[in-house]
Amino acid sequence: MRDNPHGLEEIKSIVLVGNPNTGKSVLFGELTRQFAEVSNYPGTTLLLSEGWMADFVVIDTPGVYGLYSSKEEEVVRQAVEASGIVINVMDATNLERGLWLALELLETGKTVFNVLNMWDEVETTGLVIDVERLGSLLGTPVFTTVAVKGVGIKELVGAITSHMEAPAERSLSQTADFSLDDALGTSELSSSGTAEATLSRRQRIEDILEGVLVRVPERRGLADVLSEIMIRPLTGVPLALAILGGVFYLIGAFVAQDLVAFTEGVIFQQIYEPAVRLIVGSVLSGPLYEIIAGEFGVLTMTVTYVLGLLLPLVFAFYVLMALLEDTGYLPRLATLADRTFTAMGMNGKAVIPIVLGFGCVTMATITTRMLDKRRERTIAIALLALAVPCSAQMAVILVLLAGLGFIYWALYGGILLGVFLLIGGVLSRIIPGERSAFMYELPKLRLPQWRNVLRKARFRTRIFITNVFPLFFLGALFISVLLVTGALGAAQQALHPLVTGWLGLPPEGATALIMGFVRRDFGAAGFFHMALTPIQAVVGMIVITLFIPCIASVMVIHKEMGLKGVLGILGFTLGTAFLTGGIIYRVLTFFLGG
Amino acid sequence: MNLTEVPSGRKARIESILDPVTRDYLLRLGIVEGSTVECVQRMARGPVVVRKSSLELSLGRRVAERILVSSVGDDP
Ligand SMILES: Nc1nc2c(ncn2[C@@H]2O[C@H](COP(=O)(O)OP(=O)(O)OP(=O)(O)O)[C@@H](O)[C@H]2O)c(=O)[nH]1
Ligand SMILES: [Mg+2]
Repeated sequence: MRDNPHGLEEIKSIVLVGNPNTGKSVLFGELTRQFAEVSNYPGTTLLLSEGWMADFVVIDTPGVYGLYSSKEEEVVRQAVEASGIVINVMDATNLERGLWLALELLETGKTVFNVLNMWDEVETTGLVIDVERLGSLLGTPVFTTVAVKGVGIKELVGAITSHMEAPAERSLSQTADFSLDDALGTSELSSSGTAEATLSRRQRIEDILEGVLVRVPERRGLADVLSEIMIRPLTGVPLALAILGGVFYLIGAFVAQDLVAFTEGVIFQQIYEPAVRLIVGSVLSGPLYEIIAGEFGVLTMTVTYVLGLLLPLVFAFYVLMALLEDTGYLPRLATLADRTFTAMGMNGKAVIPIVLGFGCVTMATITTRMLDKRRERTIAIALLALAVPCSAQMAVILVLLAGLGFIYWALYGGILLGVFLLIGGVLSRIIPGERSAFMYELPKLRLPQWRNVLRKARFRTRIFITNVFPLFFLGALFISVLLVTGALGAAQQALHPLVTGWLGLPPEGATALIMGFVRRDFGAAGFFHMALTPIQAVVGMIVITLFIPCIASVMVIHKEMGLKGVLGILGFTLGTAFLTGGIIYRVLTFFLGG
Repeated sequence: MNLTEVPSGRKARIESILDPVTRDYLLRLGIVEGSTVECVQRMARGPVVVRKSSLELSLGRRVAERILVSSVGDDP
């Protein structure tokens, strides 16, 4: 690429770089019209992603504070080197933080377009910034944008396009008011380097700020008060519980009962399934009919579960999750929970992947990349695989436990939390490795952006449905085949000591466990039409929750931890599931009576 | 005195950041020896939340213990 005389390849790619949570991914979406995850916490984007704007490649990168301090920053630096144009996205309300990276980017000699994003917040807070002076001090153009409203994007794109058309006309980084070599006191540009270089860069930032910050308001708004309520334990803990309760109340009481009663009960079971049976029954009979339209039929059960039951519940979960992600609450929850998570060998940051796991465990497993140390990631991945039910699973479980009353919900939740904390504590003792320091920026509290919330929930739901449909389909086919060949009966016989003797479940429980190998929520669904005592229901739900993670998760775990990691996780989750189930069965029977 | 000893609501001047990784991180956020920060919240055996202009930052216990500070302002 370097040797290309016209620098064509290089020129054609544009990389978005900036501190965490400055709006790079929103901007990426605006430029490329392509979906990118956007959330109000630092560390949303963890991998490079590419999109197209006309015939330019646009690259979105994970947020960084500089280019030379870590492996993650190295990845971003390489993306910068491979690109012709850099868009440096800064949070205009936090210029001081953005300038360090801005100076490092200018020192690379690349063409840099600086963007002061979040300009709406500058205006509402009464901050005054001399943008023109900033441009002349940096020697590169500075644009102001409100990425979430699409404001200022046209100007930015216009400037980039006209630069592309005539790149030689202006060499942007040569017109600075100061020489960067002077600023550094050295021409060694490839690292943040010596103490003097560091100090003089810091001094340069102070000078720039002095020149451009015309008025800095004293801020003590409602958001600050709210933020303090969230992080003070006395108020923060009840608030966290209230949010949790609210989410489960909304989903459990409203969506799982009223809405699903309509979508599953009416649309699918009363209208769709009888119609399918009628049509299939008129052409097929015997085992083939059973496989297609019987109890586990691929056209009956699969479609009803996925579209009638899971779709509304999973979508509702994703909407609430996206709302939570947009407010900026999660990093505050991380602060509040840091102590507890430290006892489990992680730090507060791990709250974020764990909470996201309640949406989708697979996605959350990827998010563990935001944790700094290998050990923390291992523990977080193991706990996600074991004790965090994803939205699909919660959906089925909420419906199943719905009839049993509050005490059994509380029991289920309490047992799961207990397992989570206990296993976390054990893992932190047996897994060797370093602890990492907890340093996490708290983003501004913001009102959720409806557009973003809905778009994200839709996107994630679509991925979920396309992943789950084929699996449920094959799973149902598999179970039906076992059923009609009599293999299911044999398996129930073989598993009898474990299922009935150890776990106290009815013998058909074996079917649900076999279905659990396809997906945990599929397994949970297997309990649906069994007559269970309340204790059996709780034991069954706990075992199936702790059961092996879904195939998509296993694939991600394989990528992150290798084959040994996968085998370890599978053995660990299965073992813990059965061990816990048996113990719970005995304890509950003892206290509540058989 | 270290950062965990600053009462909530008080300001403190950073005197010395002992851990190099913390130092490097804070430097780039604009917090260096000589900066003044406000302690928003400190939790018993938990993190300290500090604020400097529009930056709000949560620092774990072990990080905060290794940041030495002197008190500023309101003290008699
Ligand atoms: N008020 C306001 N909020 C914005 C603006 N641009 C982005 N945001 C919000 O800022 C948050 C972060 O946006 P992202 O695009 O995820 O930021 P990012 O730079 O990609 O973050 P990382 O991937 O974590 O590095 C989201 O909550 C956005 O809604 C803006 O111009 N004004
Ligand atoms: Mg991003």
